[in-house]
Amino acid sequence: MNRLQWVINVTEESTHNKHTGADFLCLNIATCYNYISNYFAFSRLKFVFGPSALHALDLVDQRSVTCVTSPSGRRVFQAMGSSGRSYTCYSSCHYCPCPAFAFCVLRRNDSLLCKHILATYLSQAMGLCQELALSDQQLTDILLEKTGEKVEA
Amino acid sequence: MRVFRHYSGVGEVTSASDANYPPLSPNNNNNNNIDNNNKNKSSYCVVLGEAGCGKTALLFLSAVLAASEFGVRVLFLSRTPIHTLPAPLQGARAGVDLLSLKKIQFKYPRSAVDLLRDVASLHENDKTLPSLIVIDGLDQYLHSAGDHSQQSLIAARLSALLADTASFVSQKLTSARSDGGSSNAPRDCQVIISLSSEAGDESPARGQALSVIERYFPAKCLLEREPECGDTACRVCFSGAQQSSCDLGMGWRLMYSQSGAMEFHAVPGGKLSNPGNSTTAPE
Repeated sequence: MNRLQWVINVTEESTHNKHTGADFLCLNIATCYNYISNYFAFSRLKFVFGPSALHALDLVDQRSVTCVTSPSGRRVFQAMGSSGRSYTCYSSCHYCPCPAFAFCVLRRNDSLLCKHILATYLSQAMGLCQELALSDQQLTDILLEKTGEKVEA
Repeated sequence: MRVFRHYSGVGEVTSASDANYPPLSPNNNNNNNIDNNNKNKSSYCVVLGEAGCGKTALLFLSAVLAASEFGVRVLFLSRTPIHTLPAPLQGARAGVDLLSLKKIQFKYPRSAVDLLRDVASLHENDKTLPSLIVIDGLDQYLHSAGDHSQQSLIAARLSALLADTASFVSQKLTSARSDGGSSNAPRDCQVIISLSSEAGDESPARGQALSVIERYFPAKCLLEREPECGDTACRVCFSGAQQSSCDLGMGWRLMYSQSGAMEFHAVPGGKLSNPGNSTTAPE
């Protein structure tokens, strides 16, 4: 986890630089508070979404989610998976063309979301989506992207 | 804050972005989205029934009523072209304003890919956004898509794309309405799809495709033949979605007269006589 790593770094750094006690205490309280609140947020995420919570946070850290818009006002999200392939997720309902969504959500029904959809939600909430404006025609192509491959394959 | 600024050089992912994190509590904005989804979900309905029990006629009737009585645009998608008005409508033809039928746009995509393209490109022309999207015989598109697992993937993609497109159109219609459009302009985009359920086909693959569709189309309209009333009667009942709506949980008997006209009779006990698959909300 980046945040845990950061707490460790900061703590080491401040000890190393021999800051005044008050400064150090303030910093520690602030970072601990941040860390603890993030920790609880994360454990809640993990409780609800399972292992995909961690993977989703990785995607968020890597700024993998792009919000694609067109002049028509249509909006769609693209999440770059760890394999480098991008998945198109819709803004109003849960769908992702990734294999995990097909298997765990649609088929076995034992997950609510896949990591790409969760990353989309988290990136939106944190304001960490990349923005991309395309023409209406190009957005249609993005909506259709994976389908052609699937059906013709 | 002073301390934070002091250390901001240590790690770039730190204070600046941490300060912007919204609380991931149940009352943040995401929840509003989800609530809106739930509210809109009853606008998406799947009609299930055996082949030949009148699904096409029922869907066509919905399209005609939406165009003539509510004056809204309708997109009617089907694999097989409709050459003549279905028999049930011919009797009532005098009552239907034929000009209003121009509000129905017919498209006959040949394959699932063409169907997806037609739905995905709807946003490109905002003058012709439909308030009702009807797809007759979705099973025909699924059959042409490949094996069973492929079919349920296509079913999921198509259902999700329909739901997302309808949600987008609803937003556009709502904003057009608030921008000084006429007050009786439509507010929501509704979707009705029909799916043929073969009698006795209880295969898991079939159930899988259906359960995928039901994920996105929570309201079900079931058409069942009533053998005791002859071939000309069907029982119609709704299930799923919110039971609070007056339409759901009630039953109708759909009779075809000899001229082919359709008649609906409310059956108060409709939900009781069909304990197997009606009235039980999936949640």
